Amino acid sequence: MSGFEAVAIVGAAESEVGRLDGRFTEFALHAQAASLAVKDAGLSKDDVDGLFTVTNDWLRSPSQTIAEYLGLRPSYEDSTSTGGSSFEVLVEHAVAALQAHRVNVALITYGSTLLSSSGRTIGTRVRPVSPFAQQYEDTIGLPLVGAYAMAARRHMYEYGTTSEDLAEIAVSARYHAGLNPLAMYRKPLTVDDVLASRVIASPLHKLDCCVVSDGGGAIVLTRGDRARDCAKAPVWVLGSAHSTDHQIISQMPDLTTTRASDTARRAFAEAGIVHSDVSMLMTYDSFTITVLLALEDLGFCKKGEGGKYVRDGRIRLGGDLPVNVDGGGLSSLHPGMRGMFLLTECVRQLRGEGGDRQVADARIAVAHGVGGWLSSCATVVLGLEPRDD
Amino acid sequence: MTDADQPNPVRDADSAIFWQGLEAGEVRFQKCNSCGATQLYGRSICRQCWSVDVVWLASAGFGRIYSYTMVMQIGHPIFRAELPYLIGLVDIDEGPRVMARLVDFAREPEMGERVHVALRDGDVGINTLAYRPSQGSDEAADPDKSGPSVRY
Repeated sequence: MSGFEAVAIVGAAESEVGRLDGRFTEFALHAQAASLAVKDAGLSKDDVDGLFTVTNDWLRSPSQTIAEYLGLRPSYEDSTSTGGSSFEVLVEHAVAALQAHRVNVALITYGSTLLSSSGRTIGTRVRPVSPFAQQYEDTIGLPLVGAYAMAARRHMYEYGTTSEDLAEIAVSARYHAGLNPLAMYRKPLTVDDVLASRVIASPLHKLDCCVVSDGGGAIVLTRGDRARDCAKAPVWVLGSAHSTDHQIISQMPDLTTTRASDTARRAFAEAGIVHSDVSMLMTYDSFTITVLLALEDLGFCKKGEGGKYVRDGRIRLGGDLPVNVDGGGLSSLHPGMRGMFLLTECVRQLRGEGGDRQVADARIAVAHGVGGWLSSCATVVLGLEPRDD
Repeated sequence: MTDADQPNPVRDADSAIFWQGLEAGEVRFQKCNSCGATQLYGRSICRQCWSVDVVWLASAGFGRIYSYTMVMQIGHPIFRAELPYLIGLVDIDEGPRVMARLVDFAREPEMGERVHVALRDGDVGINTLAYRPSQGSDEAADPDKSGPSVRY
């Protein structure tokens, strides 16, 4: 639809993940993943000329540091950090740079030792990501989870969504984690288990919140001709879009609505797809409410109907729209910024390498990242065939 | 920032008037003389139309609860002694939304509940914006009338 050259992901890998007990630095995890992803593509380190990367510390631009650590000499760099959605944003940026012929082989990396470094329930630290969060929200004693909790409460107030509805999302993620040998938590959960877990910031319980992990990942992208010569079948980037309307939660115009409605519209239009074409969805699950809002705003169901949508196994393997089939951040892996793993899992599934958790006949996968305080929304559409431009 | 650091207000050209307001017992907000929009946090320009003709005004002190949460766990040690505590997003009558503690609630707050500012001294010197349930004895406020204006 755009007339630009097709771009594909040709390599994807995770580093060691989970509870790593300080055995690796965050940079070592970037390096593990980068090395495996480049090898996965059948390429070599010397082929990489564009580096796109972020670290958990938003306020730095780490591409210089990561390039140095990896012994790379990129002629194009990007460290746009939007939090968890950074990787979907970096895919959009890498595609544009590749299509402009400013990059030939783009490497996107991530690595984090969040668990080894802190070990707390995510979202309970007060961290200086934004100077305005620091002045006007950190001073009040707001934990990150508190912002999402207030969004959940507003959604319950406006639409009658219940804690049971949110719990279904956690139960479904845990079911998928049971099929993933690398997931952190795999024992099945019931809705009652979620509701019985202690409240962290009302109305969110501990099991409404994602895990804290160590881990890294990397993907490699290149243009069509080169992609077809790489080691595995290319996974084509059919569309991408990013949008934001606030950063800190007290500046969010409407706590029940994110910019996913804008990003899905633009990414799906670029990809030339409709919702019924989507085989599976990997959507950011920092908290259960993050998933519910995304399902509505991406357009899989109407605003306010997310609670109904997630019932009856609809979002499980075998259901209408398998969501977060690796177990998600809620049960499997969340080292602070999860957006990289949405992409690596989509690639895995489209390649038919999903093992026990393989989505049947996966052809079109959507990765939707949400960063900050429901702030940054970035949607990427991936598929087995390039667009028919 | 280490765990020992406390999140403190920063008094700069955009925010000093707001923090001075809290010290004087009032919540100040900005109004744009060009387009009429109101806003917080304080900025050098109107975020709606980019006019620099923004002035600070004093709120009458009333608002409504837009959302809230009871915080049961917090990483920063400064706040742990106060757990559990209520945080709310309050839509002040004059337009802007603020984050504040909700205090003096003997029961669960109600969504949309009317509240009145109740500034409190933080034990550790953090000026904390807070709202309490509005009482009958609070003066009825005309939302169109604000306190004395302070030229920004």
